[in-house]
Amino acid sequence: MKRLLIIGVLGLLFPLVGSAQIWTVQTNVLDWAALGTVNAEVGVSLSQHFSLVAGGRYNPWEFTDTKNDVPVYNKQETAYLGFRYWPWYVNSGFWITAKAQYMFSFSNTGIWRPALEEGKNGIGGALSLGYTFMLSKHFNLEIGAGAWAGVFQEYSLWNSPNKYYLREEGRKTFILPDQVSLSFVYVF
Amino acid sequence: MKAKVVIIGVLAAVVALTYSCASQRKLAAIKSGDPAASLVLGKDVYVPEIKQPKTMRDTLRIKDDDGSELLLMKAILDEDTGEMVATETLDAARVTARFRNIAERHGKVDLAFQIIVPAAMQDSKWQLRFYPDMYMLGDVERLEPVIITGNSYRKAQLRGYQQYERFLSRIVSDTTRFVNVKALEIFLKRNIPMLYAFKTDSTFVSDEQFYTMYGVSEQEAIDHYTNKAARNMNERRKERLDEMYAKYVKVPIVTEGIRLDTVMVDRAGDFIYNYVQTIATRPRLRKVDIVLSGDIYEADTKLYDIPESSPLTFYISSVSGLADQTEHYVTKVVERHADANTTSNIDFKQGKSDIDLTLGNNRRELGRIRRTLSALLENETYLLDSIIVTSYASPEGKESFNLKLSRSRSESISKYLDEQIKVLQDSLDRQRGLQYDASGRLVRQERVRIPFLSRFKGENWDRLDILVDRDTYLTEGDKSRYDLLRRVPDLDGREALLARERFYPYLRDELYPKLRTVAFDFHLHRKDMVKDTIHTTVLDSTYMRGVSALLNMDYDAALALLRPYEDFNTAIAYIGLDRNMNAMEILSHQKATAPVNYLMAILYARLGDEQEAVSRYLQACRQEPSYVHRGNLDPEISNLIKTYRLNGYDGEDVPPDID
Repeated sequence: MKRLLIIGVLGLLFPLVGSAQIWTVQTNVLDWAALGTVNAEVGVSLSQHFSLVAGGRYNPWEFTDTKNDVPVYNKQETAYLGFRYWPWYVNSGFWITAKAQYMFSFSNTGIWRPALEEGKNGIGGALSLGYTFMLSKHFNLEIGAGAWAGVFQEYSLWNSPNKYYLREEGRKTFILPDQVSLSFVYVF
Repeated sequence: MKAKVVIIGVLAAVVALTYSCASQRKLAAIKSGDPAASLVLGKDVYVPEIKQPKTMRDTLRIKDDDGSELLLMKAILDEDTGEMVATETLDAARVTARFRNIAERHGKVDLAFQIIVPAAMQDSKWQLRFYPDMYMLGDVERLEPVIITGNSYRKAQLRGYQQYERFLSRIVSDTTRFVNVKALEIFLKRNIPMLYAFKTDSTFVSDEQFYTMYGVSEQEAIDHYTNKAARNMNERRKERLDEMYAKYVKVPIVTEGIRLDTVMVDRAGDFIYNYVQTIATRPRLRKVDIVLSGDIYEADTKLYDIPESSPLTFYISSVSGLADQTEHYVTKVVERHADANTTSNIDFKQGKSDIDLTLGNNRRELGRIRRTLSALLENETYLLDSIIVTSYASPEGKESFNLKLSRSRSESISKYLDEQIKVLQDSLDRQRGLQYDASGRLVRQERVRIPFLSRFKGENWDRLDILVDRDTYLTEGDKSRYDLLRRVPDLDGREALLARERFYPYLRDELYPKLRTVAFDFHLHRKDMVKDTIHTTVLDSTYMRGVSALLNMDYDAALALLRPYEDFNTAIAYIGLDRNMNAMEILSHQKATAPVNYLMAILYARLGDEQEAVSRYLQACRQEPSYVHRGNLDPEISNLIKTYRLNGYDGEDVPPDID
């Protein structure tokens, strides 16, 4: 399922390869800091003001708080596809991104609180805005922040990772921060 | 000549305003008329002092016309006895006067006067502005003001300038300073790499040729990376330049259009400025008045209007007024006969004498002759008597043949032109139309046949000499060779010898054609004139233009026109230009009339011979009493009048009766 989606997104972008576009790849340092979330985004310019972006986040890692002997993790698998609007010119200055995001699953515990929160098949839309600094001909530094809202088909909240007590279960709508980023961008 | 000093201007009393401290007391005093700026006649530095002869005479011995002698002495009134006594101390006398006679030189006069500002009128915080106004011929002209600035006043002015400079320093003149150059460079490198490559190249490339792949030009990029807020702020500052100038520099320091702006630093005593204004004299300009007014300012506030002084009067004397304006005539001789001539190059085929219009410039040349004939036939003043046609030939061929040829060519041309004249006369008659006399009868224009006289001169060697001499192609060697062969008396032999020379082809092809000429002499006479010459008198316009220039005081122009006449008016032009010896030379040959004597008196005075000057002046007065009055106008003479108390002068200066 996941693979199919990624292949599909790449397939969508494929026709653009080869004609005159500006391609970018970037990764968000803050995601990496959030317990090593692997992340990448590919962008391609469509016009002076628009670019198409696609990316994903993947975190399978589990850690242990050795002091309290509790697990700590922030697992997730997310993919998104959207458009970015650049008021001045692609890959420089301000931008606003609107995208559709699909979170295959997530599971976190021990980061802010002992509770265990899990979800699957979250689908929603995201809006974020930020600013891109041009560092050199090929490098950009980008900051941004946003939020996404949507619904998880399956959601559960346990009071601890042991799953002794289920506090909440079922479908759940949400509004969450998204794309809080400090990214390095390579411009081809 | 001694300086005459008089204090004239007195500030009128004006209602006192409440005003604090020392300045207030000072202002109150000024308003009450206590210290007043004054306008006085300055020492006249520009009119040269009359040089005294080495043997200074106190007593002049003047011979009268009837031979009797007259003794004149420098004299003053003895206050005890009431008698005039001879004196030598008159020079020290200070005579007060409100007027001065000044003499014009080279069409200009210098008005010299002093502006005296008493110490009591000066204040560190004040600026005094004095405006001399010049009244002449009904016009008023404001002369350049004199400004006296107090020390503190000037410091405040300079402070204002400093504040304004600080404001100016915040204005950025280099607008590229508002561009984020680093970001712009990256943008261009990334999106218009071609342009960036050219930027480091010396090749000139128009920026308009390059766009990003999405059509953004370099200029749009520059605009984007320009800090518009800062730029606009800068523009707003620029717009406020005038406003800020007015705010900080309340009273600008003026440097143009003023005579003087001086700063007074703790100065005790009066301030005296010697003002000299040079003006060009004009016809009828006899009198100039100078009136002084002014203002007292503290910062940009006017504290007081200094009221107008009473006028100083300058009486301007000009020798141009003495010009003799009598009309001047010249005798002109009008001759009955007149000549006109022209030369024409008419080409003939070799050995032929018939006129071929298609040959060379013949059509153009004959057309020119025809036009000349037509102009002469239409001339209203002259009648054509006869035309002489003289033709020449070039030297090639036999002399006898050439002579014959030139004769038949001359006849051929005469015949051709005779026909042309008939055509011209016909067309002239048509133009005039039918003319009827008073009784209604048709007037038949009597057509006079104009005789053509043909002359023939054969080979034209004289002209060839001139052509060879002026030629630039022939070498000096060629020319001396030609000169040698030219001496051969036999013309055919001469031509044969020339034909062997290296330069002969040049002679034959270039110079010979110019020898085949036809000369036309037109003999004319004035219509309605029977006598051969008439002497008429006409106004000498050159001379009268000279007199007119003299009256306009344009002495250089007058002299240029009048110099050849060497008469009275020429002398006046010389006197106007201060060329006294030239004037003297001319006048000494003139009959000693009153004007001549008067001018000689001026000249002798200028040259320092007072005895002769007085003698000539008195002679002029006897011959023509109006010179008694005129003497007061010319400084040279009025000086003599005062020194020697001529014409009953009693030591009182009386302004001349002029308006």
